[in-house]
Amino acid sequence: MHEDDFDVFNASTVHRLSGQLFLMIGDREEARDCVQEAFERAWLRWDTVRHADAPEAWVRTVARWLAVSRWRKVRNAATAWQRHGSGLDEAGHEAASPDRAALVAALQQLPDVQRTAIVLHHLCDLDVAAVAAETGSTPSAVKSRLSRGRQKLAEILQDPGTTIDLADRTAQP
Amino acid sequence: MSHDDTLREHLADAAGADTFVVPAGSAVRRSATRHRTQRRVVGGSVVVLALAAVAVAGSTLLLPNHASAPPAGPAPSVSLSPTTAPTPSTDPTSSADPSSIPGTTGSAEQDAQEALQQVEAQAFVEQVRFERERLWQQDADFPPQVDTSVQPLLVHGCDQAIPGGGVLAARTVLVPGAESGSLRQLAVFPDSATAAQAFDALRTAMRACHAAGSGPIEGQPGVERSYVGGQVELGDESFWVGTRELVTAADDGAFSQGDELFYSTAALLVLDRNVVTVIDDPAFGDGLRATFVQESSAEWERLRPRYEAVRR
Repeated sequence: MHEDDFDVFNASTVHRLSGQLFLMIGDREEARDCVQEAFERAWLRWDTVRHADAPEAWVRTVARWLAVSRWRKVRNAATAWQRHGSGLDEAGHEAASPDRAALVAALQQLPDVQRTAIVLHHLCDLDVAAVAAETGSTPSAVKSRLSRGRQKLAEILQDPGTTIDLADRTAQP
Repeated sequence: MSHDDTLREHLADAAGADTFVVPAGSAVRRSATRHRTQRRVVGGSVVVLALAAVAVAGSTLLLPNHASAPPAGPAPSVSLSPTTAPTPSTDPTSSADPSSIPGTTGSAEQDAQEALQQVEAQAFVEQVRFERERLWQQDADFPPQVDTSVQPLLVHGCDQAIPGGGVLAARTVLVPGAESGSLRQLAVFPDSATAAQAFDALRTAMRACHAAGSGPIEGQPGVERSYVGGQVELGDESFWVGTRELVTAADDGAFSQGDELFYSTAALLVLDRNVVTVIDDPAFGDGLRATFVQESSAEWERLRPRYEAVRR
């Protein structure tokens, strides 16, 4: 049954994709909404998506593009920052640990493309070629973004209040 | 433990994937179906209006003028010619399928389809006008600053190889670069966008264009935001064609040839012979394609003569 296939696919990937998108855009609620909308689109094209080489990548890409829509970003920017200050997520979970919050905040200081490359490469375990394919760029550009992004992350995270040490991460990928 | 593993652990922890409260797949399916149904309901209402509008021959539509003009300014006339209107979508989710109208066949069906497009477009125009006026009101402290000196150029009948998509007969729009002018954007797209898709994207572009201005991005030193937009001359008519946001960045804050062009997207549109066509993200899989070529690339070099010829 297509419905069953979709439900299994959704259940096995939605949390992971939500977390990945959250790191890319810095807003949990927005990440969840975009991922859900991407899954809705996937369902409406399920006959195509289910036979795609990488359905998960399809959903992630659609969710990412939904998230970077300027209108959406502008509309939600203010509320996103308000949420960041609330200390609780939408489920009332405790605020992130200082290190976690520092990393999320540091990621948000990176340009979109660098942040996306870092999340796709280091969290989603995509190699450079796969990141390039998913972001429509070249491997050399991805390497550059990873290098610059990690360097900048290391600089930001040198705050003595964090225990995340990425100082050695500034080497070439 | 390697540094890669350390970073991965930190990222996984920060992502907090397990803490997301998400709907079940069945709920997602229901939501998707509900949204589709809503569109059909709207489409059905439009069909009633469309049938009434069949008798209105040669009616024209009004599209708002370019973004730099006051919202109440004069608008050029645009006719959605039936002979150039997109082929009706075969997508089962489409709300504009005339075959679903009982008793409509043959030419009546075609008339209904054409009228439907007219009415959809008219409703869209009204919505755009409303949105624009609303945004002008709301964004008084953050006025739009569209660079109307950037003039998209149209090239017709251009065949382009699209990465991963083979060769498509496409229309092309070339947009002189914003910022230093050292980059050019080239967008290639097929003709398969439906009117509804195009209108929706135009609405998005209008919103984006009016929602924010150009300039530095707060908290991101060295990153600039600008919009590519402007007017297109088609015959005796002139249209504002939307926007694409460019976000440029370089370590030293300067933007020079060869730097990465970082962009997020709104939409880039072209009014081509009275048909609105849209460039959108290929991930949506509806036949919309766009590719962006840097001036320094081999692809750009291949296209440069054509571009230069058009510029002359």
